[in-house]
Amino acid sequence: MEKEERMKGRMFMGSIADNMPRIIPVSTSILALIWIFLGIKSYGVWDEYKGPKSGFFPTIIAFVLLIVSVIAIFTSKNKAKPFFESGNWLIAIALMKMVLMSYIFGLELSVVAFMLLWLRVKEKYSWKITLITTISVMLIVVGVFRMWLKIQFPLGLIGYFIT
Amino acid sequence: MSNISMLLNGFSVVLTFQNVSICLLGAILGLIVGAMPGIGSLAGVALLLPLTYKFNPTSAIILLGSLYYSNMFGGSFSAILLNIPGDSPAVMTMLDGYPMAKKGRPGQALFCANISSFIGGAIGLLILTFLGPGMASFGLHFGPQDMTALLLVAMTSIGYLVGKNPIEGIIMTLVGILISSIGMDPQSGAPRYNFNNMYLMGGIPFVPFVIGTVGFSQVLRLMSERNDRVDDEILKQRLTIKGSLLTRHDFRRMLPFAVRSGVLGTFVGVLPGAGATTGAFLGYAINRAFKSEESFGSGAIEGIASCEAANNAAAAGAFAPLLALGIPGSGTGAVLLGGLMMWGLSPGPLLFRNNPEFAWGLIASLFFANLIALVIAIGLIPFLIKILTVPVKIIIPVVTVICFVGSYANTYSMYGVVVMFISGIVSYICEKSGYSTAPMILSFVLAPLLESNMRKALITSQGSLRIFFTSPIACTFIIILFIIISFMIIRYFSRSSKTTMEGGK
Repeated sequence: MEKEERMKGRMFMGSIADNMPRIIPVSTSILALIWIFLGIKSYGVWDEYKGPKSGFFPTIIAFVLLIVSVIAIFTSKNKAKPFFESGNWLIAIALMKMVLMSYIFGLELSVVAFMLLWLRVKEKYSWKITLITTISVMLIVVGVFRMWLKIQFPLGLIGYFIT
Repeated sequence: MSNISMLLNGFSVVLTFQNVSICLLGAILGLIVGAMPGIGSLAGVALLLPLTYKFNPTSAIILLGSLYYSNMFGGSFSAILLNIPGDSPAVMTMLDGYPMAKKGRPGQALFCANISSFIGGAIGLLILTFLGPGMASFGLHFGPQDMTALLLVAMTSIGYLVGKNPIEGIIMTLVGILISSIGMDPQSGAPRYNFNNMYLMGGIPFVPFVIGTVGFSQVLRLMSERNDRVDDEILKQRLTIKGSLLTRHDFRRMLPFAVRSGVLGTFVGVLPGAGATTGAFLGYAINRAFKSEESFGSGAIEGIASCEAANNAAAAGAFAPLLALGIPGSGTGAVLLGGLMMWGLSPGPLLFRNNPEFAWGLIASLFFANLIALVIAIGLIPFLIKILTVPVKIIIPVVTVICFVGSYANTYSMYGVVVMFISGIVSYICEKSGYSTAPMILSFVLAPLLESNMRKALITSQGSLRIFFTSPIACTFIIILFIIISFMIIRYFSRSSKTTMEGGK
């Protein structure tokens, strides 16, 4: 059952990847249509006395983008299909989790947790390499960013209650 | 005042304790980042951009300049020792560098790459010293219509030259312009395309956008290479500086090739969109026609000298249009331009007149960085194997943290991180689908300049497009633009018919 679901997931990802040569120009033409609509309706294109208005330049560019995107849609049939490895998204998910964790534990602690978990659990490195790499990264984060550049990182809920 | 005395003044700006230390730091970081396979100069400069927050504009740009410049040295290391190019210009170095290393002369191959990079860079910088101010004086005659036409040529040619498909390049260029229009109208200050979002009102922040587009997307790409193992005989050797020195005979062999490539590479670098990769390719291709002791591609020292000198010279040449006209020649140039703008400096014809200490300080710092990068690159030879064998599995989380922290540091909020994350994911998907993101970065940086010039020109002409044809400079650029577009259409349709025919077979 679980295998079947995983297969379905892969097939879904595969079909998205197969259609990517078409999905990108379709997305850019939608973007262009939104820009044209807002440019004409909300910001205005031309003023008889003052000349070009806020929407003038983006609307022209969006119009050209629409034309080029339509050409790309019609000629995308023969394009090579990209291959996306599902494992590649793991780092994006991990980054998202690190960002969410920083709201609770603060940025520095989240970075430490991410480094330890990624190197020790995911990559199965020894404690020695994991700790050396984590300490080196923390030297950059704390030494360069917090102390040298004086960046105030979020402390998170826990840090907020402690301080 | 002559250019040489202005350059000497520039050296007086650079040769302070702080700026020399900054230049040194930039050179070391640039070399290490450039040497790491898979990161490259564009991602390297983008990731290290947050480091410049601490400095005054001159020092910040000196750091960026030396970073960029030493990155060019670093790209060849992995090409020679691992047969993996550190960046795209190093692809050509690989052709002779790796075979030469295989022949048992890895140290000499590295030494030759460093010396040729230095020679090419020195030639490029000398030409820049004389060409840059001349170009800037010419640029002073540019009206808004001329600037508009020039910017259109620059953007179109980059969209055309970068990547395989011109249509895709143009799409990315236009998307970059639309993204940059989010925020406020540069002339009236009225909000636009912000979808009533408070954060979007300030526009898309440049640093997180670039870190995501080139840094985080690179991390996603590196995930596929996590399990690649580098196991080569060359890496088991012990390199020493003494054992890597070139003989007099080697030096005589490489010198004419390096000088020729240096001159050629500089002029290639001046062209928008051509950049270091085209420079390296042309340098190699043209020098191949000259007599060499060993044939190119078999580990010839002449081959390494040809492409390494050309790519560094092109990197120097690219500074001429960047400083004099405000037109970057490549994605990395666009990041540097963004860095300059972040510091309130607008490169262009007036830069040499209004901020001579800055413009000449930067050129002088490049001369200095060229020398420092050579010394450090030679000094690094014994440690290179250790640097190059840092596993990708370790690079991935480290670069991810730098992307996260660097983006946060720019905006002091998670907004920067969100911008970095989204631009990284979108860029990864685009790059995988054959859409190069370099034109998008370039147009993102140049779009406000294009918009303000276009609007000024149209206000002056009361909406008539004739203004672009009555000025000789604008008219020339418009003709060039039409030629590029015609080539683009021909190339696109010939490619499409070729693919259809292949598909039919």
